[in-house]
Amino acid sequence: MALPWIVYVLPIFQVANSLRLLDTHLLLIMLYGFSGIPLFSWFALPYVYDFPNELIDAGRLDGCSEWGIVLRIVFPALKNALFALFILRFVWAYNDLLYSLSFTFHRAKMIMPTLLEFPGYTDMPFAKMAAGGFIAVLPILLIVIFFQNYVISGLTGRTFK
Amino acid sequence: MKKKKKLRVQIVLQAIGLAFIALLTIFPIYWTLNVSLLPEAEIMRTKPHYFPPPSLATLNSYIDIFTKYDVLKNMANSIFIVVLASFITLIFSFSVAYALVKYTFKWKKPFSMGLSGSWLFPGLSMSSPSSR
Repeated sequence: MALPWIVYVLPIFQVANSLRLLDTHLLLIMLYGFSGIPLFSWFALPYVYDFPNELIDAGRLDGCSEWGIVLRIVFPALKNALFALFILRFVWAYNDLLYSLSFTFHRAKMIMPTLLEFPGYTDMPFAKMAAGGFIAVLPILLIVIFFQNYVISGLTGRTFK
Repeated sequence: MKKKKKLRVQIVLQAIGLAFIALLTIFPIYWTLNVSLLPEAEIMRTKPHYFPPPSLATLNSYIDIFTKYDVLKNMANSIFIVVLASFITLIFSFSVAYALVKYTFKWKKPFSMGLSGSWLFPGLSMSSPSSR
């Protein structure tokens, strides 16, 4: 369901606690993986809608199975859109504080709660916080710089000319 | 002639707008880098350092956070989790979109209406029943 994510924190905590999944990588992978599906299927709709039916029918005529059509024709053709949405989801989940703060403590601790540890009770170490922030933002910065072309062509351009 | 002039004005305006947006994006990152390279005592000043002077610049804060906290391990955790989660999200959401667009099945219309309609639902109204 496509409800805001903050609604689920208390029930997920209880369920994860009883399943002994708290503070594991698996729980967070499931949370971040499944919580984005409604919004990102909504984002993916126009790309799939623009995909010409003729190509799919041609695949069917040539004896491709339905899975083969998806894997060999649709996914390669929509590679740029996939890449752009992947980066969008990556940045979104990487920047998320709520789930990572609520469900991870030591073993699977993510970078954003770590940054929150820097300010103490009495001091405000601005230099340390800035260094941590810069290091935390580095992966996103590198990804966006290296894969700029994919992002631009995937999010704005038409896939078929 | 007139058309060409108009085009040039357009290009100049575009350049100004793009430069403005680029500045808005880059400046916070630059300022974070600037502050992180200064020693703690030099940050709060009435006349700020716009760039770290070479005599003052240190890497102490970086050394501090790398030795006192598990920054690298937590960042590896973060990237591992987020990459796998993004793959899951993308595979499932593209299959949902593909099925909604290219196939016909029973309850297709209510399903697609529900997908968009549930965004209209105020989420906090669910919080007290679901936390019981």
